[in-house]
Amino acid sequence: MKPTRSSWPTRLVASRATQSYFACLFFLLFLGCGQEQESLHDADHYVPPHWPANLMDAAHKMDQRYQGLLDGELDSEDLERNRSELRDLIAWAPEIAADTDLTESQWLPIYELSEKLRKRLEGADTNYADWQSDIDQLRQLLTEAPVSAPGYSDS
Amino acid sequence: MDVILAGGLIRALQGLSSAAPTLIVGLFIAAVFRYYLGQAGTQRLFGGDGLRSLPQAWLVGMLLPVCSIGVIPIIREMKRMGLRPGAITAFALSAPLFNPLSLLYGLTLSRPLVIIGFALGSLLVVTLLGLIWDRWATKAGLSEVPREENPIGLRRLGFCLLYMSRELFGTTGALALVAVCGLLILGACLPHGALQGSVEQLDPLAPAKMALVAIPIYATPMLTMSQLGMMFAHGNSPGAAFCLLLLGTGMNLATLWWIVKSYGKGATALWLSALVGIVLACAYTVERPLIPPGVEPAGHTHAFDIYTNPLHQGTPLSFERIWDTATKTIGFSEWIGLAAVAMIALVGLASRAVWPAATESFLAHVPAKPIIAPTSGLGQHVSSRTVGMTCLVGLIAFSVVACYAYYPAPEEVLEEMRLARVEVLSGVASRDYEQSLHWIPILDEWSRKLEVGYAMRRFELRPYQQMQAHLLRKKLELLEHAIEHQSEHHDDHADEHHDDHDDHADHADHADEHHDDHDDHDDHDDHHDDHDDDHHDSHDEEREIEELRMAIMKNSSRLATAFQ
Repeated sequence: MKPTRSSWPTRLVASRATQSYFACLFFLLFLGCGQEQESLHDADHYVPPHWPANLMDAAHKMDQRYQGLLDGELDSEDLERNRSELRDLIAWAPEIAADTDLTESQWLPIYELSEKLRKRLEGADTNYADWQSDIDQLRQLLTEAPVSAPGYSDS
Repeated sequence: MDVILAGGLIRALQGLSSAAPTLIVGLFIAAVFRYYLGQAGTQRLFGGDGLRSLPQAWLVGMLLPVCSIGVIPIIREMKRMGLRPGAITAFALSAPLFNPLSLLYGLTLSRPLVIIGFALGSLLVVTLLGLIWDRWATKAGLSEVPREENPIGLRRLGFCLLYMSRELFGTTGALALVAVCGLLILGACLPHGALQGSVEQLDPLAPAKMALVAIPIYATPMLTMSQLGMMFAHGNSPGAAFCLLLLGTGMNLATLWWIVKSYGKGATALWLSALVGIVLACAYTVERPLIPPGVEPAGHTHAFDIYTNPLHQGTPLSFERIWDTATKTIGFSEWIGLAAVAMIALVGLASRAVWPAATESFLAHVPAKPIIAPTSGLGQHVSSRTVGMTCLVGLIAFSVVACYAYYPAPEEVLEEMRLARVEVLSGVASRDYEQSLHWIPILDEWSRKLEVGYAMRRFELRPYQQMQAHLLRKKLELLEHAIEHQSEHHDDHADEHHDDHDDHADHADHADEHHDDHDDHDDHDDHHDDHDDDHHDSHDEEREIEELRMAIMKNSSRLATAFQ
């Protein structure tokens, strides 16, 4: 069945669209993406330098970044980096905690507090002093978690 | 050249096998439309000629379990019945996107909001596109309105079977081959591992690049869901994921081919331009808001490895190797589907080539319906529409039952996971890395089924459970990478040994050439340094693999506790 509205713009789009598509596809295939992945080393997952080694380290790094925000002595670039890293650390805290012997009931407060703080950090709230109690509580949960986990011993 | 062709053929064969089950479903639905629902019933199912036909076609598409190849016989039948072109393309695009199985799977992959957002985004796309398409192709779509009388009883079932087989050994079968040609082209053109770094989040070109590559792609809804999951887990571009879903899963080369043949090149070009334009607009809109929080971009993705050449350049080729690579991803259900497709196609071959006259005569004869029929019992008359709707509702009910079969109870899944985990870890312990690499994706998939199976039965999925499943998958991926690195080191080491032996042989031949001695000494020193570095790297990787083995073992008990 022939198209009923085969007017000149239609034919123009037809030829241009088809030609452009194939030109772009071949460009992409043979120039942009057409490199064989020689080594899987390139595919390694990037581990950020501020990724914490354990819960204590997470609490320590969180405290450092938070104090940096409170001091107000950082330039705007460092301030933004500090805020971004604090947001990362808070978002990672549940994952780090879940990879320990903590039970679900011990893990849940860390997760809930992390979610609460993460949402605040995603907003435009810059009144950092207001976050003190939540940050302290999260840090306390993280530092006390290893001791409260089943199977913990002083030795 | 051989590797290029072999890679393309492998991808085409894999595509054909994954299409087989849903192609049969598509043929069955088309037969139900033709011999049970009829033109009036099908028109009503898709909302008639009103504006609501577009969202209604989208909804019907969402419920029926077909892929973009399985949708072909259905849209052919819809056009034959004179449905609005907008509704046809709305159905054609939306039906392959989601089905009950993939939707449930998708909900575990990312935030549920993302998958629901993608579904609503697809509704927006098909509605806008349908409005444009209806304006440009309305008259071309209204053609060949069927007027035939249908038989009842067993003869009607015979008609259905013949219809399915003749379609398969006819236009639909040919279009299915066109669709898998897209995979053949990509598999041949894209070298192994290409596209891994092409769709990073906030890369302004990522959605556009994905839109270009996605058009020849054929993907089943489940495959796309797993790809979306990988993209979100690796922090890739959400806009590119949306393009992959709409353009990769929603359509393929055969869809385009059919639209060109049915509505003409000009109208198709407008349709495709509008589709790509709307999809890209949506993709760039959702790019930032849908970036998952707390996910560190991995800088790569393996989601598209399945479209690239499965063979490395220089791989020695043999029939066994090609067959092994091609069949590695073909599961039990695909084999059953392929066997069923082969049988139905044989019937089609017989009806078209061996007994064409007898078949035509059988199809032409529609006996008159008995005037007096019993009012009770199995012999009573039921309208075609009732039977047809029962078939469709039954198909949806079957999908729901299939969900429970595909996602077993957590206890069963945990047992399957235990067995898979033993295979992975024993492979690591005995350094049988091929075994581990084989079982890692299986264990990964079971972890997703665990989440879905639990949520379906308990109507909840707690954050702790999701986190433990996420941790397992993360460690499995790290283990996979570490094992691959280790294997590369072994291969390099083996090559170097080979080269060293060659060097030694050369030295014996040229022992009297003293002026080379100094250079040789330097070479030896470099070799020693390289060997020391390799030894350290290899040692670090072995330690990493061992740490991951321990971490996966610890995770197993937490996972079991969380899901019990």
